Amino acid sequence: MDLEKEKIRRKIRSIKSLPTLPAVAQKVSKLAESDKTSASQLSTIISQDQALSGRVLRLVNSSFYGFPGRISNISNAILLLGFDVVKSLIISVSVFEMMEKGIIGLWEHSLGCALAARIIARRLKDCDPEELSVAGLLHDIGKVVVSIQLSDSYEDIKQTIREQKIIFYEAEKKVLEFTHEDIGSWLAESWNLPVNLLEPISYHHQPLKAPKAKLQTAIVHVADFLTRAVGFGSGGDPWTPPLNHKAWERSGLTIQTFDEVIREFNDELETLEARSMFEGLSS
Amino acid sequence: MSDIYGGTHTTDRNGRINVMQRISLDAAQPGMTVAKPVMNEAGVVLVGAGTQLTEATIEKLKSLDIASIIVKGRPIETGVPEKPLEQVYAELDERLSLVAGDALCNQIKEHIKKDLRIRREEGS
Repeated sequence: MDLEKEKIRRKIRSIKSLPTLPAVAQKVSKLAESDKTSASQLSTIISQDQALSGRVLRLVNSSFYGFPGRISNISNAILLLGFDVVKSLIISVSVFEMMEKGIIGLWEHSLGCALAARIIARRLKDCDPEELSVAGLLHDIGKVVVSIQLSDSYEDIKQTIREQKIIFYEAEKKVLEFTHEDIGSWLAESWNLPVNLLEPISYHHQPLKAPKAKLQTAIVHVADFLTRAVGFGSGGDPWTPPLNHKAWERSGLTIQTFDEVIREFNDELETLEARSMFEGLSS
Repeated sequence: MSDIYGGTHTTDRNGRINVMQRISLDAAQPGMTVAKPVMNEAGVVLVGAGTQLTEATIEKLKSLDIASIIVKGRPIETGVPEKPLEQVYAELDERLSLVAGDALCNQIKEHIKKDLRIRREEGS
C-alpha cells in the first residue's frame, strides 16, 4: 500500500509541482492544530485576505450553501459552520481558483454534488449536512490536478473515454495507473483534512472501502451519481458511473422517498448561480 | 414553468408552488418581490429575500454593479425555446447508458423522468 502510494507521489512529483495552498490557508491549518487557538484569532487571520474571505462568504451566503444571507463575517461563519468546514471552504475556493475556465463544468458538477449530498444528509439523524456539502464540493479535487498538472495525460484520458466508451475513472486507470481518488487522497492528507472529508475524496468510486467515514463516503457516492444523472455540470465524460447498491442503502434513500429528493435537488439546481459564482472565484 | 433555463419554482411546506425567475437588473420593475437574497462580491446581503423592489432599491443595486436578481413569479417571457421532453428523456437515457443493465438505476431514471414531466405540467 505504502509502496503504491510512493509510486504515485513520485510519478506526480516528477511532472510538475502540485498546487500549494495560499499562505492564509497554510497559516490557518497550522494554528487550528493547537487547542489554544480561538475562533476569533482564526477569523482575524482569514479576514486579512479580503479576496479569499469574500469568496468564502459569497459561497456560504448563496442559495447553494443553505444560510442565505445570514452570515456576515468569517467569525460568524466559524461559529455557525464549525472550523473544519470553513477551513475546507477556503481550500475548495483556492483549489477551484486554479481551474481553467475550460473546466467550469467540473466546478458545476462539484457544486451539484455538494447540494445533493446536503439534501441526502439532511434526511438523516447522525449526519452533518454542512460537512457533507463540503465533502461533495471537494470529492473531485484530484481531477483538477489531473487536468492542470498532467495535461498531456489528460488528453490521452479524454481520447480513451471516447474510443473505449468508458468513464473517466476507468480511463485514468488505463492511462495513468492511478486515479483522481489517489491524487485527491494525497492532497487531502497533506492538507490535514478530517477523515469525514478525506475518505469521500479517496473512495467515492469504491464507497464500501472507506475504513471509517462509511456513511459520508456512501452519501457522496450517491450524490455524485445523481448529479451526473441529472446532467448538471460535467465530470469529464458523458456518463454516470456505476451505482453501488449497498451505498445507496447506507445513504438512507429508497425508491419510494426518492421523488422528494429529486424534486428538491432539481429545485435547488435551477436557482444555483454556479457560473456567476465561478466568475466570482476567478476574478 | 415553461423553460428550465429562465424560470424555476420551489414548493413551500404546504406544497404550494413558488415560481421564481432570474432577471437582468435592467428588467427589474418597482413592485417585483425579491425571491433570493441579493449579494455583493464580498458576500454581504444588499437586499433580503421577500423585499419588494422600489425605484430607489433598483437604482441602488445598479450603482453597485449588480447584474441580475431572482424575483418571485415569472414577470419576463424569456423566449428561450423549450427542449422537447422526448429529447430531454433521450439525453437522460444516454447519460445512464453504461448502467442500463442495472435495475435500480433504471428505477431511479424513471423517477427522474417523472419529476421532469411534473415540472413541465406545472409550468404549462
